[in-house]
Amino acid sequence: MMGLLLALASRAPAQEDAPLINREYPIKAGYLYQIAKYTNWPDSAFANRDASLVIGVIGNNPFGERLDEIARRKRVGRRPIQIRYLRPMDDPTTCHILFVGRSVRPDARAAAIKAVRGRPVLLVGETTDFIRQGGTLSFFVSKNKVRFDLSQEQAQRQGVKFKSPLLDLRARWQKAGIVTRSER
Amino acid sequence: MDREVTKSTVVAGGADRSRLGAWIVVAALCLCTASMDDADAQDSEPVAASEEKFEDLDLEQLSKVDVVVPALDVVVSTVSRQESTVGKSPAAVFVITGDMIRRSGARSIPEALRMAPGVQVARIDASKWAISIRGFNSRFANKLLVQIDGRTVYTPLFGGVYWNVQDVVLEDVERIEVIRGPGATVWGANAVNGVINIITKKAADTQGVLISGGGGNEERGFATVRYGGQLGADTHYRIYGKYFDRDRGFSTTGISDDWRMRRFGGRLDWQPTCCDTLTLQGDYYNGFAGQQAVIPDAMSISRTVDDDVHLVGGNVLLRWTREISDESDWALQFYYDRTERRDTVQGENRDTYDIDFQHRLPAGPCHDLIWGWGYRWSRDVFNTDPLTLDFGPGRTLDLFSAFVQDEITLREDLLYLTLGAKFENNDFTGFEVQPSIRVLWTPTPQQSVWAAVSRAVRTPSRVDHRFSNNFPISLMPPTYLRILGNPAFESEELIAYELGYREQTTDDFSWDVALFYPDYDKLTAYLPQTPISPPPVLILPQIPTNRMTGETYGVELTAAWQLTPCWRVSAAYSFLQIQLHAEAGTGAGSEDGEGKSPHNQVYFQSSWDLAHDMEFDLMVRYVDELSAISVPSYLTMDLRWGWRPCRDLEVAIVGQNLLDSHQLEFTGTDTIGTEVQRGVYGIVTWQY
Repeated sequence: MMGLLLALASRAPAQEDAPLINREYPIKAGYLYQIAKYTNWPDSAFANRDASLVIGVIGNNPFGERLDEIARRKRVGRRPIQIRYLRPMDDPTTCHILFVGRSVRPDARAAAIKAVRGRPVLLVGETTDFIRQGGTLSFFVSKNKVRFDLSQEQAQRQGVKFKSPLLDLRARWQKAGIVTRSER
Repeated sequence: MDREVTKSTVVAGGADRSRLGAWIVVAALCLCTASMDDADAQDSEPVAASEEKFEDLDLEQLSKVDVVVPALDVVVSTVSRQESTVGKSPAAVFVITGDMIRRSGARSIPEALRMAPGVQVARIDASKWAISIRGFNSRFANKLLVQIDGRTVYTPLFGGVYWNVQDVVLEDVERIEVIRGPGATVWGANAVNGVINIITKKAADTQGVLISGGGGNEERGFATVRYGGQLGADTHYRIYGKYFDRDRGFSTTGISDDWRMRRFGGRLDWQPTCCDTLTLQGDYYNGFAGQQAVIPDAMSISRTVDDDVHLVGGNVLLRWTREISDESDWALQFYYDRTERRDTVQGENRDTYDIDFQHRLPAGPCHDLIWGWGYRWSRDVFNTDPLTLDFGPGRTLDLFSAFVQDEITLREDLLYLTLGAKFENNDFTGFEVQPSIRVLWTPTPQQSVWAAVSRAVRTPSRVDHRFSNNFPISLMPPTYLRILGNPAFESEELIAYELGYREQTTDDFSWDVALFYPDYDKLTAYLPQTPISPPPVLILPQIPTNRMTGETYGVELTAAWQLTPCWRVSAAYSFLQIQLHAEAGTGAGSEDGEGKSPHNQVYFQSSWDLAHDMEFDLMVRYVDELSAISVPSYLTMDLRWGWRPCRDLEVAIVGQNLLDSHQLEFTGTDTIGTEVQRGVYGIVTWQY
């Protein structure tokens, strides 16, 4: 049996630098949907009970069609999901979640954060120090897994509230030393 | 759990049925136009079918997904009782996803299983199937373990599955894992030739309303209603009701084997803390399945009886899982299952209680250890016509089991060794040990080679030890074959040698091959006993003995190719050779198992997205002849056309078994079989 195994193995072509699949953004898209599910916005953030939940993306769209696919298939409670790819002149306060990606230049990032300050917009980023700069939630990749850090303080400032599944997960990551920033 | 739900959702039968379908279409179209406004005209291209749907994962699952992965990455948990991937499984695994079931047009679990390589699925009549893996097929096939959400559904009566009471809401299926070969190490005694593990979605992933219904000439009418909601932030639930009415199969004598079932149930997932999940789920079903039975008769030796078998049952399951860390968790599960079936010659009530515990922990830097124990208690009560069938007085069966398995990383990302053993104590043969050794080698992230040697046993079932069944075989003189039980019957044994290779050749093409050679000992052969002749009747008794050996060998090959982002084809080929060697003096039919499973089987599927809202699927299936029961080979085809006019609505038309007006797949044993007919049905699914 072992002999056969080795015989088969030796015939297998060696693929030194075989291409790997990177799923960072599909995973982040999945998280965005979960984050939408587990965040409370004030009623005033929506025109009515059935109004769409709007996820905005500024800068280049790294998600491909993933977010559109989510919008097509999913809802948050009874609300449909709408995806907006914002151009520089668009008003970011119309969104409930604003994704500020790596491609957004630091000055544009600061401007976006400033534009939605005090409005019920959940600011999601993926750059170091995003939360310190005023963001609400920030993705990072650690040990081949996508994780996030979040700030309840910043969320409060924006007028949104995280539900317990998000907070619990972060608490566990903090306990495990995955998230190190301490939150008061 | 709130289970009052659904009586109102169950669609009443009769003449209204065909109108029901039309009504559902109209209602759904109205709802669709109403929700068109906020659907926004989104013209994005369809996402390739092979891409994982991360939006269907919850937070917990997302946090465990690897960012950079080798391509062989379909999640399975059956192989080692913990979540792993196909590429890292040292076993022959095939995963049928919920989406594959939807696109195949399958309306039942047996139909869905036709997609898997190495699985023999043959319909006996409208509600009966013969299903096995790697041979030994019959209605009472006894070498397969089938589980639905952790609940074992084979009956200790004969060690097989009553497929006509196993059902779920197909839209709620997360995946069906099909493991060919012995999975006995971690799953138990009946996992001799394979394990089928049906896993439904978490309640959090089935939120909202789902209404689906339709009908056709064979699928005369069906309807499903499911509602998923939330109780606070930590608790999700779903409740469902389901009904179907299937037409009779083809027979020259017009046998009424039509089949009607109602079923309702639900599931509740509660996550009281970050690391604990409590799941409570349950089902109740009640229905009738027509059949024509052949029973002994004092006057004319045998007569046929038109029967409507009454099937009632239910189950409640409670599972508590705790996650200690990424490498460690435990789960404690309890369930109660009740089945009742009643027909002219047989009444059976069975109560089963089962408790199961498993614990995974890292044991040293390179060892991933999993261990567990279980206890099952099953009691039956029979009410039979002893002239035909007798099981003796009701009996209680106890089964104790324990397992331990260690996955050893010999070289990180390269070489793994899995050692395991299952220990069990049953009422018939006492203590049994079933060890296995598996090696996995992943030379590159896109390739894996595995090999396994395992021992498994098929412990005796109740009918092997205590049984009496008279089959009329000739009129002059009146002669009966009487199959009896044998208290000295021992476990059937096998040692299986397996070898497999998987490769993700390119991003769009992957293939998988598995070779197997199980060596069987102490297989069932029937031994004729001294004839009994109270004149004028002649009775030929036979008892099961372990006087047969055998070996099977074969190969299973699957491939999947994403030709374009919108077009995917997949194919499976299975070859199987069975050789049985009964000792001299055993009954003539002992080696019939050689010719009851097809030598060659081919399955081909093409899934084509015609436009972003339109799908076209083609399934072609070839099954070789079954020489022992004179079933000729056949080729058949299913087609499906699906249209999604808006986000919430899907309409599909499915044609099944299109190449022949009727097709024989298997024959009956105690009942007369019928043939599968060409069928067309329409289905409307509305999800909000």
